Amino acid sequence: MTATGNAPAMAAVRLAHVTRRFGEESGSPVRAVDDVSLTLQRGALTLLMGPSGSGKTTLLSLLGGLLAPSDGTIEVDGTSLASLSPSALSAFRLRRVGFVFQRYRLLEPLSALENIELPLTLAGVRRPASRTRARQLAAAVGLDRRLDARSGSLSGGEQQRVAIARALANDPPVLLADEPTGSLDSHAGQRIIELLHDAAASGAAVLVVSHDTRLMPYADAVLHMEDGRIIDAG
Amino acid sequence: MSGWRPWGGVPLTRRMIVRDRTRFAITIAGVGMTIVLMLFLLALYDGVRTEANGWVASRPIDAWVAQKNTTNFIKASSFMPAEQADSLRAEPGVAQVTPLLRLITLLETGPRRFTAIVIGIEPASDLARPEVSEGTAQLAPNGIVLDGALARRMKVALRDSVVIEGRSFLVTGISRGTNSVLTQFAFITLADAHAVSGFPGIVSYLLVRAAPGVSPARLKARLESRAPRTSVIAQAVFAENNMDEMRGGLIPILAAVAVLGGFVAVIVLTLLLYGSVLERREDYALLKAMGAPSQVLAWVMFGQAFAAVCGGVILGLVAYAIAVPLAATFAPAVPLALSLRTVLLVAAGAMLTGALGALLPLNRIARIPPAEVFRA
Repeated sequence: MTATGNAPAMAAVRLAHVTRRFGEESGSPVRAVDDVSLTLQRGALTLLMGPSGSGKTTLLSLLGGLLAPSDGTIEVDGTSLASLSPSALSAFRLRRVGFVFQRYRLLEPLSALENIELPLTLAGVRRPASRTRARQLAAAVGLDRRLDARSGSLSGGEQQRVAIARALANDPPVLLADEPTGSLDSHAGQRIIELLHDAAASGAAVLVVSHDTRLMPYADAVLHMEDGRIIDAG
Repeated sequence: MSGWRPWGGVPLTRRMIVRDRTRFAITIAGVGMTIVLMLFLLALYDGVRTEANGWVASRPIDAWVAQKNTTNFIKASSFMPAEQADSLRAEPGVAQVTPLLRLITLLETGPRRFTAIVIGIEPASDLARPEVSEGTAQLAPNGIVLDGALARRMKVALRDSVVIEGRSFLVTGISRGTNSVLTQFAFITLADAHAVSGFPGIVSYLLVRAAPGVSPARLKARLESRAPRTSVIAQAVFAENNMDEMRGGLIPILAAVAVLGGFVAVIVLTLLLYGSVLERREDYALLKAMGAPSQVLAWVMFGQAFAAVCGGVILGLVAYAIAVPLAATFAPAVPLALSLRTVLLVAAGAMLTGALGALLPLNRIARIPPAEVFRA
């Protein structure tokens, strides 16, 4: 299955016969992801839909290198994740993958600007370059003001915009979003959808797990998942 | 892009601390209390070393002569005929001999009674004379020089009177280096000591100084051959024997309390940091999911531990400074002497404690699966 957008088709992620089982030690393993093959192209926004428990989040974790597959291979920009050591896998996540979560997952002790700057700091970018880049990203998601506010004092929409800016900080080729509009009102949700679309238009391979049908017009491909398998690619 | 720089984690560490002010304050208080305990124990040890053995170790002599098998001043009895002093004075190579009589007896002031070591010395000789902080070291009949801690315990000062065996003595001096923690020294004339004891022909020790040009070792050998029923102990050895006696009694107790204190500090730090990890489990999962290098997580954890330890050391030093005058008031016999070396030693130990306290929480962080970040 291939999810392709309008940008020049270039595979960012390839999954080949990927299976992830849980509970193998208990003797009754569950296949959360079952023999999934998939290609995500740069510049494309792919929407992954499906009922709760269908394996969407597990698939997202596999794509982001947070979980290792039980079977099959995952390649990002030609690099097999299985070949990476734990520290190389961390570096891979830091520089090649951006994550956006339903509950934003900002670090509360840090300000909005510091949250955006964090991946840059972790990647060794020095100030003032990291600060300048963080401000640019904040401006790009429409957060010119309240940058010094603690993340907890921001509205849900603002927090999610900070999360998207943070995910894009190291300019990753892959952006993975888990229900990014799930906790937002319609107006804030719409803004987030546009930002994700912009990220794809800038060349990232964007995979969005969502039940939000408003995303469908923006998606270059829509995948449906059920019982760990992709059953339909629209 | 270069590699991750440790100071990049500083804002995160600082903010995590600031966010949990109460928890951090409790940690600092816990560590601070163990630090002050350590400082007290080590200051007590140093105090015992300098104060309790001060008088014995600073005698300007070459040898102590005592009854055979007597090795020290604190935990030994020694009785010799007073004439022994005259026979030693006649020995070639001997410049000076001073007898002293050591009594363990009660000193009374009003209805209160205190046990002390009363030392009778010859007023004319400077070999046994204590160092005084007030008054005079020169003894006169019916005069007494009291150790400073003993004077505070008895609540007496210069020109007050104390009673020994029904005889009244006027306090003419307050000495230092004469507090052996369990008891203190008081000095009277040898004649008064004989009168108090009722044994005028007995002395306890003879303090011997060699004549110029005579090697103390040769003098010791000669005296031992001439006085076979006595022990002749070089001054340095006698002082060390004294120290050993005090160390033998005190060090196991101090060490046990210090080790327990160290354990408490590690447990307090571990508990509070571990609790913080559990509470912020999602934050650590997020950092791992984002690809934070393991050094960052270690830095954040060790940074919090070291910040708590630094705060604890400062709090401990402040608490110690406040507590010392109180200790001098309520427990005057406890000699405390805190050196810079001791403070540095405690600070280094505290840093080690911080490192140990961070290990278990760090291990807990290592076991947090980054995929947990997707949990709602």
